[in-house]
Amino acid sequence: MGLPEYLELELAKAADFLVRDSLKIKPGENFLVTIDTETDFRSAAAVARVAQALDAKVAVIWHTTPPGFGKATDAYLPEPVKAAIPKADAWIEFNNQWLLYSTPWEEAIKSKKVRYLCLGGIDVERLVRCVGKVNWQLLNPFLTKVAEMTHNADNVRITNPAGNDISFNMNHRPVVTETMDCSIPNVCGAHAHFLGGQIIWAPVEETISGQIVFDGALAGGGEAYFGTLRTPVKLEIKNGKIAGISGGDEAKIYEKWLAKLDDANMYKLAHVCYGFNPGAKLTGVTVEDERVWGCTEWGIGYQSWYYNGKGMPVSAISHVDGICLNCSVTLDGVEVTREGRVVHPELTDLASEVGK
Amino acid sequence: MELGKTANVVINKLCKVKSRESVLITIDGLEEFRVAEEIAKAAEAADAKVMVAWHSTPRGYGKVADPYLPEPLWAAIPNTDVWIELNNQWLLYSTPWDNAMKPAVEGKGKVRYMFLGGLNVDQIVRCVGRIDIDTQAELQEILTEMTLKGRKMRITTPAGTDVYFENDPKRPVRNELFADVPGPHFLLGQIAWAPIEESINGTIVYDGSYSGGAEADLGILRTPVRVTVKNGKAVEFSGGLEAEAVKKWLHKLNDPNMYYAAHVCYGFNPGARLSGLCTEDERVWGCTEWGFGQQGPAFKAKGINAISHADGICLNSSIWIDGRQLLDKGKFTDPQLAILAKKLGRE
Repeated sequence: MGLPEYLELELAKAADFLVRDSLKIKPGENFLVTIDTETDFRSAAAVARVAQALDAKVAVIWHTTPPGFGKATDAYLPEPVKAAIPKADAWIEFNNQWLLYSTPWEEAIKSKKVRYLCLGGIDVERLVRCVGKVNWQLLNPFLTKVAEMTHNADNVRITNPAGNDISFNMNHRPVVTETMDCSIPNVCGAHAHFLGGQIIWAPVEETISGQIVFDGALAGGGEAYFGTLRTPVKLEIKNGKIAGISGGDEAKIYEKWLAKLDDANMYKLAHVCYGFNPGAKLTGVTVEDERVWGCTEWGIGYQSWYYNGKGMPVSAISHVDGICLNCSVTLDGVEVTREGRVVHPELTDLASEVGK
Repeated sequence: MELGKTANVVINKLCKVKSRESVLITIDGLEEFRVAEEIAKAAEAADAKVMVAWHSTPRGYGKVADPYLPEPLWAAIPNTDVWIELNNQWLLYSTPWDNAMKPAVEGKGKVRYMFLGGLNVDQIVRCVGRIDIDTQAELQEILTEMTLKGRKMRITTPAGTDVYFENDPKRPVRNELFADVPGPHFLLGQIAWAPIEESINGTIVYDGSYSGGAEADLGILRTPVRVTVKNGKAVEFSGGLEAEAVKKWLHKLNDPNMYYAAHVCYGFNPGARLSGLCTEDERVWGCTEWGFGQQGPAFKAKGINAISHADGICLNSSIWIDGRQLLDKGKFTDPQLAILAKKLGRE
């Protein structure tokens, strides 16, 4: 046996939480872990060990990295990977070029059998910071309260110091709270779970108008996977669609990437999120970036059927996520956050419980 | 470095992997992951779509493994172009293996399966990486031809094996080297076939090793296991403690088909040593090996359906085909084969 590796004990603790407390793996269950070559294999091995200790039937799939996200991965995925995914009882995805929104992912989620947890691109250090060291019992009441207030609002406006100014209507669309309880379906009835510390929903698409400024990070997969941005990317939004892109070099590459994908649905806004994970830092990995405390995030392109309340996905070849830092959010004119800090009187105590 | 070269031989020379093919590598928790990793690298370099499945180790071989295998693995196996199995507790003869191999053998499936079960770094380097593949192919080709043409055979060993049987000219003699067409293929250095089951009579003495999965994985034998065979069926086991263990295990499996001889093989891998690992042992130069129980579809024989499969090794065999001696206590008596053997570093 070699010497213990970096964060070995903390990793074991985080893995234990994921398997026992989060996915609640039972003996005999089929537990699947997928991981591509751009992610740290130690995370996969650590959760596999815990599941094996619980007498699950464990398969870790380590595979060729596709050059993009979502359905853009379909043609590059080994056929046995596609066949394996929908057959799991529980699936943790560590892929850096994630399988989320790909065809096998859709099949898995629609089956309602697979409990899916997306930890795409989350390496050992991030897993320890964003899962293992978070006190979920303290954080979850805060997340639940924010989600409830948002769900009850009619109108939402989000601004930030970089020039973001966008508003939209809610019309009681479901608001999903990511609490790391992956043993039960989300409020939309889907067993699709994501790293905790995020609140996500699809606003009424046609009502989304204004300007979105990504000043944190932008991840579009393939050549549009920028990580953290050097210059902000500004999107003019009209009725839920991108009407214009401006900014520096990254904006130009992004514009070209969208043109190359040649899919009109890649210009449509799919969802918005709050980021409230106390361990998250802006590091260029979307799954972490979109949870930086006080940010908001927009997803563009593929939209899951369970967010929009229409029962059908907005199918698109891929999905892009961009991060707006230090946001001020108002719900029907009432401030919830101001430049990334929680200011609503019903929330400040709950936020301070987790050190925010 | 040697492992890198070996992986390259597996992917490019043996499995002949083509660009954009799906390559599945399965490996269980008892096996050395480096082997899977290096083969995956070679496949990626060959522009294949690669998947390594590292999974819970089943408690036994063949269909005994079925309840322990993760469902995603069941689904993955029949859906690949190439499957390289490195498992220690192998999936060979399990139901997902059947699901992949039956259509492949019938010309309806695509999976090219290469069995390298249980080989660690040292073993795969010795038994694949360091072999002169072209000379090996030449030797195996001649041996296969001679066996195909033969009808009445006899095998003896210094330990007391003396068994007679007849071959069916309509059945294939499997020359294990390449995995270039759909169906099952095994580590090089083995020639295997199913004789006419009822014609097998005599005594088989396992003096090398015995492998039946789980508690019947006896490895290298301390005392020979003597099996009396009548009309293809094992009717008596004698020897020491290990013979008793085999008897007990077969009794526990409670499957009468586990007593029937499924196939016989020659072992001619110049790198193989008796190590206790069946995959390697059954290829030890000059041995013969008998498998009992499940009979793979590729033998195009009776198709014995059994819950598991057990293999035993008889060292330093002497072989006669239609009265003509081919091998004397593990050494070739045929001059043409002796020259090729020498080229491969053996006698």
